[in-house]
Amino acid sequence: MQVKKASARSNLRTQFLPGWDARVAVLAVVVLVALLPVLLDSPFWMNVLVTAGAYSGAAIGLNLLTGYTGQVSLGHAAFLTIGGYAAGYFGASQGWPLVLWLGMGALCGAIVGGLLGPFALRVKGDYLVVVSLALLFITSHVVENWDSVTGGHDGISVSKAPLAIGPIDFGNLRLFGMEFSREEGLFYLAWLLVGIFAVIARNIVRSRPGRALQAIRDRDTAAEVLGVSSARYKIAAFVLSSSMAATAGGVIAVAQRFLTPNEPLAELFISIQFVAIIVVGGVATIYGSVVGAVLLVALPEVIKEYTHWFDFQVPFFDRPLVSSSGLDRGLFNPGSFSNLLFGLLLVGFLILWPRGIAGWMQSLRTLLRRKT
Amino acid sequence: MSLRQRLAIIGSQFKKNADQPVELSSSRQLSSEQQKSLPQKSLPQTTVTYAVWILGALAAVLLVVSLADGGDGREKFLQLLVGGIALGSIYALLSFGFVIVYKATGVFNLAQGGFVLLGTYLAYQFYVDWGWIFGLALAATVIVMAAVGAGIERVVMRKMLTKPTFTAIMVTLAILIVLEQITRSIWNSPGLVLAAPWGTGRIQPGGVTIRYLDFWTVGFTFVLLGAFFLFFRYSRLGLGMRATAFDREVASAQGVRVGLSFALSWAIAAAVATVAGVLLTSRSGGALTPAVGYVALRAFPAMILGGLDSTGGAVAGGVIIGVAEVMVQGYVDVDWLGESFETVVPYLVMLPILLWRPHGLFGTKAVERV
Amino acid sequence: MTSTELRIENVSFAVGGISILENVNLTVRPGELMGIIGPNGAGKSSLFNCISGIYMPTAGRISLAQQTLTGLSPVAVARRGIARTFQNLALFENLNVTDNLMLGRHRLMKTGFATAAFWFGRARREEVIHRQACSELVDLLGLGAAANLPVGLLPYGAQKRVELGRALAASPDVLLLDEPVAGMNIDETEQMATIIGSIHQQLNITIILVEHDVHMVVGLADRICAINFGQVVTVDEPQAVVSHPTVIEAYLGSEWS
Ligand SMILES: Nc1ncnc2c1ncn2[C@@H]1O[C@H](COP(=O)(O)OP(=O)(O)OP(=O)(O)O)[C@@H](O)[C@H]1O
Ligand SMILES: [Mg+2]
Repeated sequence: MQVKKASARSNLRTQFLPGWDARVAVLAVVVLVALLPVLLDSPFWMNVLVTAGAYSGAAIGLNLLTGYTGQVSLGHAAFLTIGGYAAGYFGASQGWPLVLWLGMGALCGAIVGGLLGPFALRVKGDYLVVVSLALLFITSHVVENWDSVTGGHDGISVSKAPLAIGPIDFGNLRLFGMEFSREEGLFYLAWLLVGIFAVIARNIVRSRPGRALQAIRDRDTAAEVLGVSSARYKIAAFVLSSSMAATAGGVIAVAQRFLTPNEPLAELFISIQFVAIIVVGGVATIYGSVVGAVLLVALPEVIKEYTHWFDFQVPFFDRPLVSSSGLDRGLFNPGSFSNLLFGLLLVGFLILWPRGIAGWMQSLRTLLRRKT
Repeated sequence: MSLRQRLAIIGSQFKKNADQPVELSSSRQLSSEQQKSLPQKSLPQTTVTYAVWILGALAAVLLVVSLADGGDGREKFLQLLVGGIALGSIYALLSFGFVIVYKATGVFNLAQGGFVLLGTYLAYQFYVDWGWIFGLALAATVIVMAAVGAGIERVVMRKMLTKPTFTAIMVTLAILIVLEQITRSIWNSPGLVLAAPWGTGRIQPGGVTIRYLDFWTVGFTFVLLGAFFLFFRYSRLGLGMRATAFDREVASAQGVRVGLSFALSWAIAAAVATVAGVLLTSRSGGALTPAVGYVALRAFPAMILGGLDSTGGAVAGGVIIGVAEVMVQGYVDVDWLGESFETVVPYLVMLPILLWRPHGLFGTKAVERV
Repeated sequence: MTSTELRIENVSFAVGGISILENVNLTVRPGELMGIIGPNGAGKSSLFNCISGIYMPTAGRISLAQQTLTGLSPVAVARRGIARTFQNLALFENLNVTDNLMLGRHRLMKTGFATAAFWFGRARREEVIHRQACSELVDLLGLGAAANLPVGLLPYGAQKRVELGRALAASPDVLLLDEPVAGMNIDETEQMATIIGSIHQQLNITIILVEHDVHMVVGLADRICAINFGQVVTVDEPQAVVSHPTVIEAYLGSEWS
């Protein structure tokens, strides 16, 4: 009898979400996201939310690689770029339909990841850090020089990339008699992808391959003596994470309408931003990736919009922290101040709350459970 | 037993290729046949082998270009070699810094770029802004930066020792960003110049131009590295650091202050990064740019090439990468490779090494203990 | 049932010029419980590492049911049906007890990334079947209350049991246990000995047990192999081994009775 009960309990854990509270939360978020374009009447913030959606998708990918598999990559931005240029070339230049150019972006990301992965992941150790750094520099070089595809220094326009799946055109969306702007359409596209990625990632991490990834992260030798090939799983995680990032990169590209090559260092910064996103949101959680992405994409915009909040005199230096009148009068300009915050958040969370915001939520849950 | 003797025992027990096989506590002996069949001193041997190979390759190329192109070819080659060694010694300094931290703590230290950046601007502050004499300014910078490095280790990285390495690496990324933004905000006016006093003089033996700067670069690097090698070999602190690198627990049980070793490794990394940054700035005519910090990242391939756990390998790797980069810049003129192809050369050199010898040319392949 | 005889023939292993195992010969019969005893640093764990493919023997051959294991990767060895525990716990600390056991079943399952991602029929069916098996094991090991806790939070004794469970979950033909009761109190030791004994009797698998608790080994083992300085001293019936003069001198000490 007791055996029956225990097994029923653990079979329950094969369900998509663990508890009723998680299910309610997810439902609420889905409804909120669906209604946001109707409720929010600001093209600027809509655009920010499109980026936040794309970043969430890419962050889910990075969390699979870093949070679940324990491999740090500095190359995530390179995959966004690869996906972006795939959108520009296959979508805008070749005129392929949305599903095809987006899929092609995912495929390009997967191929590059699959080619590069073995260099770093065949052996134990943190080699991916260095190899992904190589990828950043090589990608930037290729983008700047492969003129016929990327437009070289002049860049490439992505605005003509088709945005329709059958009758649904995200560039000019009509639903229930309402008309949506291009931003709003892209918002739905981006967050639809977030939903798909989240479901895929969640399904993976709760079943055999996902357990294998986490086993490798925690104890790679023990995983191997159980028959988990750590090289193969690490490479697979890298490929999956790369293709998610590349897909998200395509969405960002169409939202930006135009792509120009980034300095490798700017790309490095974006990659580090992704690391900060998953750490702040919560490593090895899916929803943490989304929470982190939304917060950290919004952060620089908030600082720019509300500079006056930070416009106070810093003692000793006798200058305002961030000046809202003259940009270089402040100790920091808004851009570098938000960059600094990224760094501080990253260190701060890693040391004080290594499980991120998701960790806070977990503590809150146990606290509430204990009370009832 | 003196510390040195104790460390010698720790060393020979845990270093894979110990100079002489030392009895373990359980008095296990090797038969004389076995001793003969084992590779003795195989680390120095590989080092010598690779050094011979590298020198041989250079000599062969030298011969080929002189035969093919006469005196001009030889001059160009030697000219590039000089440039490559000068650049390479800066990479050598940087990758030495990486290896020191890696050996002590097992972490790839991405904050190194931040040290280069902050160190360079601090040197500017002392030398140009406050007008100190150069030697004093540089020494002061190195000392301050060493303190910064040790401080960061003590306050931040020490907490990461018990965490998985990938977490610690993420912390070093964060430190990189924080150092960069702090430096940018303190010295935010464009067009700063840090003109080191070796000026623009040059000598021209046999048609090859050698700038004073190149002399200083190579000289500085090798004096500094030489000093560190002596430090590791003979000083108490240096031996302690080596013991820590062999085995943290055993070292600590033997009375080595491992915490001090960790802090020292970060201090050394920050100090060499500073010198590398000042030298790098001189190479680009003294113009200060925040991008100087990221050149450090080009020295990562040097570390991989040389071997993660080999300081000598780090230096060799740095020089090889530097020479390769400059040679490609000088000789390779292929349209489809694109402009400034040389900037990706270090990485392209690194990739095949990772497949062939992931522990690097001079590194040792660790046998995992479970 | 095919004969799952584990043969270790002339196996030697050395690291950096230091010889750790020398000419080890040992044949473990199918279904036998072989105890291995020997002083610290004798090379017992190293022998396990050679069998599981973590260490590559410098000479000799290891085979299971006449198939060579030497030279195979740990993954390939695991697929041949050899499971083990580690002397110093090697659990997946952030995963809960059930997931740790489910990793034991990894080699018996098939779900890959694609099927898992979309949760096709097989992924779900497989998951449910294997969870069932694991939850039975969880109860057998007396871990029912902790099934959904991260193993890192469990007390040491429970963690040791989880590790045994993880190896058992793999339905191995050969089970290598490296000091399963090290650091346990008397009650825990007793419990663990009972579990090992019943596994041996009911599942009829070959077990190799490395343990310093000689009383326990003598009680459980069919035969015992004594190792010293990387060499086999003797392989014999338990009573014969513990009265072997060299074993007494090198390991047990004269107080042993
Ligand atoms: N990877 C390795 N590198 C260097 N030395 C090793 C390695 N593995 C084992 N040794 C050495 O080999 C010897 C035997 O170790 P092993 O762990 O096999 O002993 P053991 O019999 O399991 O001892 P214990 O009872 O303490 O567990 C020890 O001296 C150990 O230091
Ligand atoms: Mg042992």
